[in-house]
Amino acid sequence: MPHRIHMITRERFSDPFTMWRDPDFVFDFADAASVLQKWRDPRKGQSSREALVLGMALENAVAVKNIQRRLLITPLTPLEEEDLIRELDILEYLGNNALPDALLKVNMGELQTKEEIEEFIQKHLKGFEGSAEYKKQLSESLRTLEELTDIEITDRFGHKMRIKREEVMDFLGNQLGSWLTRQLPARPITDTIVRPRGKIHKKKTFQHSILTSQHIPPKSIDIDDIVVMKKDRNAQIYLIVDTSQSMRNAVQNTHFSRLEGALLTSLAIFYYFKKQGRTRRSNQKAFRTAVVPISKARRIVSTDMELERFLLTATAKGRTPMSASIKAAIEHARIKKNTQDRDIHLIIVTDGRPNELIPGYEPKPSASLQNYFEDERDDIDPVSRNCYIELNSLLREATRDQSRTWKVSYFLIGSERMKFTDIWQDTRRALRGITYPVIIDPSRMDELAKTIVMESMRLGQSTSS
Amino acid sequence: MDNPRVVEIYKQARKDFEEFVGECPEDYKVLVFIDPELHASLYQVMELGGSPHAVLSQEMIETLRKSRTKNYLADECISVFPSKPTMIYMSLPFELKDTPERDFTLRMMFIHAFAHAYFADKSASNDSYVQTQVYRMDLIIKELIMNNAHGLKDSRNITWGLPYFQDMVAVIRLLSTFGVQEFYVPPESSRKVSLFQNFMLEIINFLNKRADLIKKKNLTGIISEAFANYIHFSIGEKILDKGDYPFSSLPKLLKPIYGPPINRLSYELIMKAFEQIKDNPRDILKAILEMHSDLDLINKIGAGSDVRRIIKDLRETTQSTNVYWHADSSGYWRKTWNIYENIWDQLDDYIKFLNKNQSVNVGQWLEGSKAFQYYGYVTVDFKPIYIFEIDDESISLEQLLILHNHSLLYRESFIMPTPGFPDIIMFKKLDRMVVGTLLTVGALDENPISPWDVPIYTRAIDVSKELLDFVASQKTVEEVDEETGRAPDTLYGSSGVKKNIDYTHLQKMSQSKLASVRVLIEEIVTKQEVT
Repeated sequence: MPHRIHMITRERFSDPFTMWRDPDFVFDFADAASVLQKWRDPRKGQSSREALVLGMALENAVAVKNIQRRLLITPLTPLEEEDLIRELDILEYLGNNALPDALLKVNMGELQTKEEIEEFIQKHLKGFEGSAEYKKQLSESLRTLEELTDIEITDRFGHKMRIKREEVMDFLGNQLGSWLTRQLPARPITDTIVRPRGKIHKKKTFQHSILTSQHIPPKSIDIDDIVVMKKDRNAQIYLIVDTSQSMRNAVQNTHFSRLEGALLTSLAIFYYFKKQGRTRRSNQKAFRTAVVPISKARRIVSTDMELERFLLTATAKGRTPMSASIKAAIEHARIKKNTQDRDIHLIIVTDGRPNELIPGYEPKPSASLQNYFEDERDDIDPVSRNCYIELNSLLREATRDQSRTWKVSYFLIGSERMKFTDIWQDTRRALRGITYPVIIDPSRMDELAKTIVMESMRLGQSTSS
Repeated sequence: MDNPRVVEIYKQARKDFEEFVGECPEDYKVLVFIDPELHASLYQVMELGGSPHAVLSQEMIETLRKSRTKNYLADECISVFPSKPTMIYMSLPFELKDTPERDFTLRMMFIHAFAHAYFADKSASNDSYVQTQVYRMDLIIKELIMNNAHGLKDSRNITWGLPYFQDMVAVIRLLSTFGVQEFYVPPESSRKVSLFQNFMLEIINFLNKRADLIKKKNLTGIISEAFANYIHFSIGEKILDKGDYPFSSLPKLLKPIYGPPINRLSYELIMKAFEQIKDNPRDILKAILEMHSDLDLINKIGAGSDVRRIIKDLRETTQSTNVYWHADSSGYWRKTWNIYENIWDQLDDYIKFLNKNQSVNVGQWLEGSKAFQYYGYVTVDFKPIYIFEIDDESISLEQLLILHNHSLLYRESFIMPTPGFPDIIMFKKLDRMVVGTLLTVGALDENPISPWDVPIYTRAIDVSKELLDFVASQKTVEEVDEETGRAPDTLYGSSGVKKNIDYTHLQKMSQSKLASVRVLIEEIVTKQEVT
């Protein structure tokens, strides 16, 4: 009687989460914040990276064992045997040297992404004599890196979705960007007025409505309404974000911090303009966005890669060297302006006073500001005062540029009550003649991006008209 | 069969066997694989699960598949499973042409297999009896799993049943084999609540029974091989002497039953043990069949040291002779020999172990072996975290995780009672790296949809001096920070609550491992709740 053969097959039971992988996944700002938190949580990431290296080691160990057994048991041709031994050498080296070192580096937090782990192992193996064939095998061994742990999110309707760790920024950016786009339709909407004699199509835009009949509320905002987005001009937008200690404060009624709100806003704006730029018929990128963290290490984050890095590593700590960051942004912008003829828009988001000076900078503030501090605010902390003076001097100098293409928006995170405080007074006075500060309620953090874009439009409107 | 040649050789082999031993085994089944790949995977199932019906975890199947596509798996030309009836699986050499080499190879393999079958039938050891029971149990477990997974899918549309059961059974089986009894068994009263609970109750008891049974199995690895090898070595010699075939040396196809050290060694051991009755093979066979375990053979030869001397001598002589089974065209023998050395070391260790501990059965062997070591536990807020070291590739972190996900969480409410597996720290050696892993479960707001939907907390660290130094230096930096910096925020900082940690229940372990335990425990103390 023949024996029954039990086939070993893997039963395919679908993962309930993957079913919801569709582009219309709906989620809001709070979801985005939770994704960002998960992504930024270094320990969570670390454990998945550790598991990854461990998984590779496990697979490696099994392969070594199998090859050894094959060599002992199976009759082989000389060529096969040579191949196997060479493979065994590589795998043993991987298991004994490369992977333990990789795990150690991951433990120490030195390897943070899939690419870094891959590169590390590649580098490690360079010491080992290599050939083309060998590299092929290596790339196969590294295949497991693809399985870096996902992040799981739930949308408003309870749909679940998994995002790959490396796709997080793209996913978040696209969601936030399109979400922002939905809130601010940039395409002109034709308003139809039905009259007895027929229909009249009126192209009503923000600019048009203001220019013609001031009181008619616009139906929507045209892309042309946004000054920073003028069709024939290319814009350079700097988002100068406060990353001081106070940004750690949690936003009321939510579970994310001001910093996370600000980061997501940066991301939203970054992707919003990226999207807007894509719809234009021009080879040149119409919008370039850069994020400038207000922190000791002065840097301009302008590429996707850098932004990802920034989002991943940004921490709210330290003081607020705002004027220094603004100075860095202005210097960066000057080069852009001179070489690429771009309109510059500086957007500053902060939640308090600047409190660190630029060493060696000699401010030339407006006389009225100096008078203000002397006459009305003689009790102010001298550091704060000097900071405001620096701020004023820097921005004044920029906006008084001949080309008149410098725009500044200033956002202050705080409740409406802030308008009665000294911070508001001081800020407003420091920015007089430059821009009008806007107060953003932290509980409306999710609207920050929208507000910024709207205010920028309004601002562009008022200055150009 | 459609190949009469095979049947002819089969009959020939039976005749050879009868001539030499006196009678033939009757209780066996032969399965011939047309596709050697199938044979290989079946063999691997045996290796991982201990029986051809073993339930493998998803991860094991995955690894199996990968190694098969990479062609790393050995073409196991012959595998014999000594249950009643004995199962004989053969795959080679059907892909080859009809040649005298092939005929001879096939004949020898049949003889080898018959010897195993005969041994399983007639031996005084309980080996084959226990194997039969275990195979039967595995079959039942498999059916249980299939039925319950089907039931869950049918009644509640739960699709994760099968992979979950597979992983769970694989892990509990392994751990219970190693004597871990720390499973939470749901109360008998919960049996009626659902199919799932009923299954849990059944399966844990069943797996524990299986573990107990396996422990009673005698260690017969060497004597059964010795029996089979003695027979086929002797018969093979005779046939070659007769000159029926146009060659006088062994064909290379016979590598699987002549090449590996165990075959050679077991034959030598028999020759040594029965030097006096060398000319009376039937008496030798009778004597072997009366032995209960490998220990009897060692004692028969003299002592462990005598056997080890044989190993040493053989090891030296085979270094030059075993190259026969290999391609030595470009000086790879030196590297291949390393693998042999490894096996010889293992055999040496095994003999040493048996002699030292006088172990007769698997249970005694597991007790003394380093495959599993328990180091006691650490309590954090009176919740124990068990610490052990496991040296086995068939258990992976993912499986432990899945199992673990359903542990402490549900103890109180019995929403989904599963074997409560405690929080653990496990040390595991992979190649030359020793890893310390931590598995704990976070708090849960709602009922999860599937076992994979439970918040888990894992870490894996390299147990090395570098890392421990690094952690120590990190700590000092942090302390300095705390002095100068402001109070950490509730969202980011987490130095927070002091927990009650008790290290007193730890057993003696190496300094680096102890330090690693501290690092991992620290992780729990300061951990954030992961959502």
